[in-house]
Amino acid sequence: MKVLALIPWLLAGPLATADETLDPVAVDATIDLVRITRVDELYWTLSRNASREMFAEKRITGSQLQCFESVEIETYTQAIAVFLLRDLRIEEIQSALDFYSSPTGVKFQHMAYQLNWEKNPKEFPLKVEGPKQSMNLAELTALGRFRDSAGGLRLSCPLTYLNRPEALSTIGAIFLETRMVCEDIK
Amino acid sequence: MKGFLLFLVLLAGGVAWSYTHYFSPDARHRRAASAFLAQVHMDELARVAMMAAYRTEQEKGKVTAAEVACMEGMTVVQFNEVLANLLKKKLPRRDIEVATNFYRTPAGEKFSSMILRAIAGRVPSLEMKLEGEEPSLFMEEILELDAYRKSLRSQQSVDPLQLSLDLTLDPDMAELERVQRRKCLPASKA
Repeated sequence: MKVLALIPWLLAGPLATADETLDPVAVDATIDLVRITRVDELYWTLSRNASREMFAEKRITGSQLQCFESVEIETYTQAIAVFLLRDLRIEEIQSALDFYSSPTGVKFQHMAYQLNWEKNPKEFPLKVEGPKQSMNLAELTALGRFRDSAGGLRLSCPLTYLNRPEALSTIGAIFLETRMVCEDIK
Repeated sequence: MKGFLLFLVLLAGGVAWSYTHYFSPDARHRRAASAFLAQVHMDELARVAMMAAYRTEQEKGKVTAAEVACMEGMTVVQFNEVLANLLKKKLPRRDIEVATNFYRTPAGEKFSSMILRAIAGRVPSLEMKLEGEEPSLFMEEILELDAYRKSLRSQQSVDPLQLSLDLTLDPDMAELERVQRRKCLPASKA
């Protein structure tokens, strides 16, 4: 019964319930921020990798693996967006979105993610292709300005921001709920 | 006996001189400041800035070419000495040494070079010759720079690079120039 109750939540996504009380502009900006920083893709990939490991260790069956892999990235996008909307002000979200959409922000993210992947591809499985990039003084100044801005104080490193117990419990809940559904835990 | 006493006196004098100039905490402090300024080329910048001002005065006909050439006689070492004395009054030796260690790394060298280039770009009259491409920092180097700046913030300390730049405007620097001006310019101009 519990499992049946969870399915619509997983399919509809948590934003469906939060939508009515939230400013649609803020919701759009937050979803854009989540997508542009690829944090949804990161946690979605990590959970897929975890389920594949479970399958390799014969802890789940092939059909259960298929069930795990049927969870769409959008589930993570929405869960993370809801968390951000609850925890941050719209000014913070908008300022972070502006920065990560700018050429300096795009370059900074490329450089940071490339280094993360090179250092620990298991924990950071988002491979960033292309040559190693670097920043000149004008770009460093723009980065410094963002760090001192409303959004930069908490979102200059989105991964560190999301690597806190409150955020991880939200993101981890998706994986746990998927396990309950796919492994038929009652 | 006399010779031995003379030897002792000379030895004692030598020890005292060495201590004052090399081994005393004050001498080590001043040496650390001097090494830092040379590392980030702030002494050179101060000299270049002063000479740029004289070139402008020459263009306006306020000083002659010979007077400017005489002012050119001021060495980077002189600027380094005055700036080092000012810097050591403002910062403890440990802070200066930490900064020197950072600015000696590839990240630190690139960053100080970026700052000098930015100054040269904003003040073309300095006529600073900057060779090669504008330096840029890789992610690992940005993290090193960030760690250095965070350590400064946590100790509520200022970056000696910024501080030494501010010190180039100190009255002691103006006095250094005035002394040379008196040597080079007639009394009516000096």
